[in-house]
This record gives sequence, C-alpha cells and structure tokens, in this order.
Amino acid sequence: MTIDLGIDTGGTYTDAVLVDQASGAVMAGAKALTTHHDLSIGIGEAVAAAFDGQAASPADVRLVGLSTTLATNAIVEGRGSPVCLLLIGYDPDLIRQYGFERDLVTQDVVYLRGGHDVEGNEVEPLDEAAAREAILARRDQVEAFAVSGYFGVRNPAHELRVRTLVKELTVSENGHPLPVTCGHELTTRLNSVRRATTAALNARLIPLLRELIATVRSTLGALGVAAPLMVVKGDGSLVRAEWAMRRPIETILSGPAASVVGAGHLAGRRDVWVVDVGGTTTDIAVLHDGCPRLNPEGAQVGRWRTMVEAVDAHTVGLGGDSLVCLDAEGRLVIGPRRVVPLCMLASDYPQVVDELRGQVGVRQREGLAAQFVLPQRWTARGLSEADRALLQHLGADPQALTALVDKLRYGSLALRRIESLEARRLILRAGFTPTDALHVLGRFERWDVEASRIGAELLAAQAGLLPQAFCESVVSDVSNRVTTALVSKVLSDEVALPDWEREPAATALLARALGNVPASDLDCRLTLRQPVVAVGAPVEAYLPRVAQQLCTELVIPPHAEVANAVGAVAGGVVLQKRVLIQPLGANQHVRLHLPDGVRDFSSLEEGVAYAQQVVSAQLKTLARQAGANHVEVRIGRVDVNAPVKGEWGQHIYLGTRLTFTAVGRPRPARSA
Amino acid sequence: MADILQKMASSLYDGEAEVVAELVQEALAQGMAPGEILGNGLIAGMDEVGKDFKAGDLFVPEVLIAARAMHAGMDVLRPLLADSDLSSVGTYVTGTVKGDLHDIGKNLVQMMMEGGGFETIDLGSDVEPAEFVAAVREHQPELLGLSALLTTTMVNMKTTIEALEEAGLRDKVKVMVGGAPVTAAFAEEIGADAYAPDAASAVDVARNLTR
Repeated sequence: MTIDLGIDTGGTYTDAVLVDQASGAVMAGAKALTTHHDLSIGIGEAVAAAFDGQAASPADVRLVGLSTTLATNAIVEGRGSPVCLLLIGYDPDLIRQYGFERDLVTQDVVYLRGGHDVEGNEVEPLDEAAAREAILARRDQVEAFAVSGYFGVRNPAHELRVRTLVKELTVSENGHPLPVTCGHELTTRLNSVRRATTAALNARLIPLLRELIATVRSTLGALGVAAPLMVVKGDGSLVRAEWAMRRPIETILSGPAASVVGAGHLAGRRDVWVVDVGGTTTDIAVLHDGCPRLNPEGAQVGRWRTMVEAVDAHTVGLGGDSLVCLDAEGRLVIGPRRVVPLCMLASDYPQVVDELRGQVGVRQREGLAAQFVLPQRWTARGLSEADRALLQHLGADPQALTALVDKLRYGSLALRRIESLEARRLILRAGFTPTDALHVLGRFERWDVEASRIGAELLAAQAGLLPQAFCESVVSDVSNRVTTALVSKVLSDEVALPDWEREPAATALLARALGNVPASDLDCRLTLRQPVVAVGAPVEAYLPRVAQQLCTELVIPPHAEVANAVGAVAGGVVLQKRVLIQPLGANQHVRLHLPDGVRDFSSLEEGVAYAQQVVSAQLKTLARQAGANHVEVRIGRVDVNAPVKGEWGQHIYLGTRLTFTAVGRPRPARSA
Repeated sequence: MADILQKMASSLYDGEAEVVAELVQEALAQGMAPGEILGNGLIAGMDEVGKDFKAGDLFVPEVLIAARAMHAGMDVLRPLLADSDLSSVGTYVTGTVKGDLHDIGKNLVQMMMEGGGFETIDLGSDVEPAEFVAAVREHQPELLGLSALLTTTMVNMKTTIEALEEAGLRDKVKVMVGGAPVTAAFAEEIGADAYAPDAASAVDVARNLTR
C-alpha cells in the first residue's frame, strides 16, 4: 500500500490526511491545535492522530504535501528577515515624488545606474562597481538580496549580472552564498514598483520558509516518514520544497488554494463554487475545469499588492469562532473578531460556567457580557510597564471581562490595552460564537453545552429574545452573510464589488431574494448557475440555507473538515512561462523577450519556432526540478492585431504572446 | 452685460481675433470677472464651433481661425485669471508619439481642449515614451493625449502606455488616443482609456473621462 500524506498548518488548526494513492480516496483525517511557537508539536500530533488505528504506517508514505498560511501571515504581520533591495535604473526622485518608498518593503534600498527601455535596449550600462560596493557593505547585515531592474522583464541582463555578483561576493564559510531574488523570475508583467515589492517580499520570506521546511522535515523524520516533501502554491499546484524555498512568495494563499483543490477532489467535481467556512474567515473561490480561478491582477496580501497570480478568493471576516455581540441598538453583530467559543473555553476551564451563571440577571457593561480574557505564554520583550502589570494581574486563568474592567481603574483605557495585547496574541478573548449557538440548538456538540446555553441566555436577554430564538437568528444571520458574500463575489467578477450599505435599492432586492422580507409585494429569485461545494466545519449547519436561497445544488463531501490537507496532495505540478514577441520597426523583424535575454529574428515565424523549441525544453527541465514526472508542455499563442481605419490597410500587428504551461504529476503515474 | 459675452462668442465663432481681444478688454473694464468672461464668452463660443465642426458645418481651416481668435482673447485674459479659473476642468498634456512628425491633428485637438477650458501642455511631435513619462510627473495632468498618423508609429502609442505602466504611473493619468488610422478597437487593445474619432468629439471624451 502506498499513501500520500497531506498537511495544512498555520491556521487555528493543523490538519493531516492520509490519501490512498491508487484510488485517491481519503483514508483518515485528523486535527490538532496549531502551536505557533513550535509548529512541530501541532504537526506531530495531527499526523500521529491520522495514523491512529490505521493499518498503514508512516513508512508507506510516498509523498508529503504541505499547504500553509505562514508566508501570508508573515507578510500581513510585517515579519521577515532583513533584506537589501538593489534597484537598477530606477529614478529615486520619482519613487519619492509618489511615495513609492512605502511599497519597497525594506528601508535598505540601493539605486544603481543601468536599466533598459520598453524595447529591451540598454539605456545606461550597469554600474558594476557600485553594485559590488553595496553588496560587500551589506553581506554581513542582511539575510537575502532582492534585485529589480527597470524594464527587467523586457531584458533581464542587468538583473542577471547583479545576481551573479551577489552569488560571488556573499559566499560564507559554509560555502553557500546568500539567497537572491530577481524581479523577472517572479513575473513577466510591467510595473517596476510592484516588481520591486514582489521581489523584496520574496527575499524576506526565504529564511522563514527554509526554517519551516526544516521543521516539517525533522518532525516527519521523527515519525518515520521518509518521502519527498512538496508545497502548495497559491494557484493550487504543487512544487518540491527546494523550489518553494527559493520562491516562497508563490506560496501566499497556499491555504485557500489547497482548500479549493481539495474541495473539488473530495466532491469529484471540476466546475463549482467553493465555500470554506473556517474559524476566523469564510473564503469563496471558483474551481474552473479542476483548477482554481486566479486573480490576474496579482494577489493582495496585507497592504502589499504583489504580482503573484494566486487563487482569486473573496474573504469575509465571518466564521464559526466569530464573536457574537449586540450593538448599542440591540442589533446582532457577528465578527470580524475571532474569539475562543465559550463551549471550548469551558471544556478546559469548567469554572467559567459558574462565572457565567453569576452574570445572569445582573446588568452588564454594554457589549462585554459573557466575554472572558485568557492570558497566553508571554515574553517580556517590547512590553510597557502597564502591559506587564495588566498581564500579571490576569494571572493564568480566564477572567470575566466585565469583572476585570470594573476592577481596574480607568476601565475603558484598560479595555484598549487589552485589545492591543490581543492584537499581539499575548492574550486571547473568549465569548459567544456561532459555534456556541449550534451547541445550544443541538446541531453540533463537541464541547461544553452548558457554557453555550448560559451565554445565549445572557445575550438573548439583551436582545429581548428567548435563547432558542436568539441562537436561530445567529445561525440564519451567518447563512445570510455567506449568501451575500457569494452574490458580492459574482458581481465583483462581472461588474463591480457592490457596496451594499450605500445601495439601498440593491440591498432591498437582495433581502427579498434571500426570503427575508416575507411581507413584500415583490418576490424575486437569484440562481447561482454552478453548484456550491462547502468545506470547513461545521458547514452542514449554515450552507443548506445558502444553497436554498441561491436555488443551487449543495455538495458537502465526506472529510469536508480537512479539505485543505486533501488539497495539499490533490494538485498537479503546473509551471507557466510567458514570452513576448514584439515587432521591431517597419520591416518584418521581431524581438523575442526570453527569460534569459532578448533575441532578434528576421521573421515572426522564425522567432516563434525558436521560442517553442527553447522555452519548452527549459520549462520541462524546470518542471522536473519542481518535482514533476511525465511532464507535458502546452503552448498557447495569441497574435495581437488591431484594426486600423480603411484606407491605411486592414490590421496593424502589435505582437505575439506565447504561453508555455508545463503540467506533470508530482509522482509516478497511478497504476490504475 | 450678457450682450457683450454673446457678441464675444459670435465674434470668436467668426474668427475675428482683434474684435474678440477688444471685447475681452471692454468686459474687464465693465468689471466682469475673468472666470465669467472665460466660461460664458470664450469657451461658449468655442463650444459652438465644436458642435458645428462635429456636424460637418465647419471645416478644419475655420476651426483653426476660430481657435486663433480664442487665443487672442486668452492672451488678454490669462494674466488676470486666478489659478482656480484655469484648472477648474483639468490639465491636458499632449504630443505626437515617437517617430511621427505630424502635428496638425494634435494641435487641433489641443485648441479644442483649450476651448473646452482645459489647461494644455504641448510636448510637440516625435516624443519618446520616456519624455511622456517625465511630463506626466512634472505636470501631473488628468489627461494625456497621444497622436499618431502612421500605422508604423501607432505601435508607439502602445509603448508609451507601457512606459507609464513600468513607471508605476498608469493609474495616475487617463490616456486618450487619436489620429487618422486609429480605431476604438486599437485603443482598447493597447490599454488606452479612451479614443476620440475627431477633434470635436475629443473634448466630450475628455469631459467624460475627468468627470
């Protein structure tokens, strides 16, 4: 028996699945809490739990796939290693004039003379002496270099030269040079600023991803797994770990991409909408012909707009662990803050049930009822005196937020301090969540029902409802929000993202279509043409209503709760290269812009033939390096012609775009 | 008071440069605001010219003569105009693309744009993509107008837009293209924001873009 092991880590939970290589069927799945301070613990627990009671052993694993949100999280949180960004032929005045410094990721930016023009001709020779000097001055201060040249995608000669210099000049005692990333390796698109952003982010993530992969490898080794490790890219395809370590930026949105691929695999469908309801967020994406649809504008992560083509996921701050509270007018507010559900808190700390009982019938500070704070492992680094005092005051057990705020002087100030500690993950908040509502309604029972029940009672009293009815309204509100998000996503793809709050007529129509205005004279229906596959946990509670509201089919596949981990081994190896051919002047000559330089030809067909031969071979080699077997290269060709006015002829030739796509299996083909 | 503006507009339409200049002086002497003279006298007259040019009632030479009259009025008015009067509609930078020396069409559009109340800056003909980028940085216009009269130079409209993209400035300015061989489909293919088939409609297109 040979099996694939899929692992998803970085979110609230670390998931592991075992997939039978011959049939593609999921044999077992398991979850463990992600241990951010030492990922090996959570990974080890999840993998061990997946093998628990199985006939298969870790020695049977032939392939390990990893999807992870770590790169995404690191970017959002601004973490990463010190890097130097070498810009060739960029105009520092322009960068300053438009405030583009903010987009350069690092403060350590060096402007070098050089660069090319739009046709790929050298504007100015590269200032190699300055490059050498900059590299030597920094080789002991930074952990990686990023290089981006003006029009480097039209002619990478200067970027390639600087890359060589970095490799020559930074060889350390262990014989390895510092990592270096060039802009043209990551994209073929214009926009020198965004290429610099992308290259710098990539360089900054390299040490982080190396560390992650080393951790995963040693954890797997300790468990007796000795199989090649692959990582999911943001487009849902797989690459060998060595590749991902050089190009970590391509793993952003790896988690959402894996969940889309995994959902399609589990449901056995190729054209569907995928809704992934997690603890913190709900992600919506499209699977088209078995592949996630990508965002051609490049993935936005935190405040950075990268040039990485990753899954086009629409994310809403709504999940099973979203905080449920009531605003000043008594209206229900769910999310975007993520908390520990009361039922889960009480199963670890049974004393909170008594504390909750004590709050019944006592008027609570607005918006704080049934909430707790729970201190986490903390370090003294970067803490103010007041922060430290507050953490000491908290002790080690959960404390009711209302009691805490009343006890401290300057209650509202203390609340702000608590929020800032929360943002730094030094304390966790617990409160009533949609997961608690499901516990009360008896639709999902894993933890302490009593804590959920009292929490519902406290909030329902404020809303003037019975606890049962209050919980129903929480669950149906989650469904409504997911439906609205699906409609928003379709509209944003086809027209523009609707701003519901500012479009009352559209909102009114939507409310009628969702069946929320039974008294209206107007009835309307929205029909989503493709089925919805729902994954995450527990989607059975929320998604049937969504599918009914959108008159579409709902598929909740088995193992839906570990779709991410399934996606980590379900994808293929896919690499893509784009090559541009441009006309040169009035004769028939053309210029080929290749990944390693430019080449001129006296006719278009000559150029195309050359590219087909050379790039296909290069890409095949790269795909094998990326971990593929049985590589096939498909070539797409678009000749761009635009019509001109009659008397000047028919068309003008603007260029040819060639797209090379290498597709392979991440292992020997299945025998079946 | 409105009489004099009406007269100014119709003299401008008839291309009587000296009369227009005198009428501007007279209106100023009466204490009329420079902004009002510009909007309700000169631009109103040029708007009429544009309409009739579009309808085919006026031809290029007549438009050029009317534009000259507009200039005569503007010469008197310009030193007195407040910044707010001038930049109320927007700034328009224009040029004929690299390799192309034609400039009549480009100049005509520029005059119409000026008549439409835009502040205009002319970079001339045979303008390198990098020069367009530098001008966008320097003048920070709302609009950039690219002209080409040859199928062999039209491709440089594309490279000019690509140069803006590479500089990171593509979203800072709206690009409109025109010229005898240029079509709407071509404009869309190269990623321009708009195409104007002739000088008269250029102003309408520009107003739509800056709205």
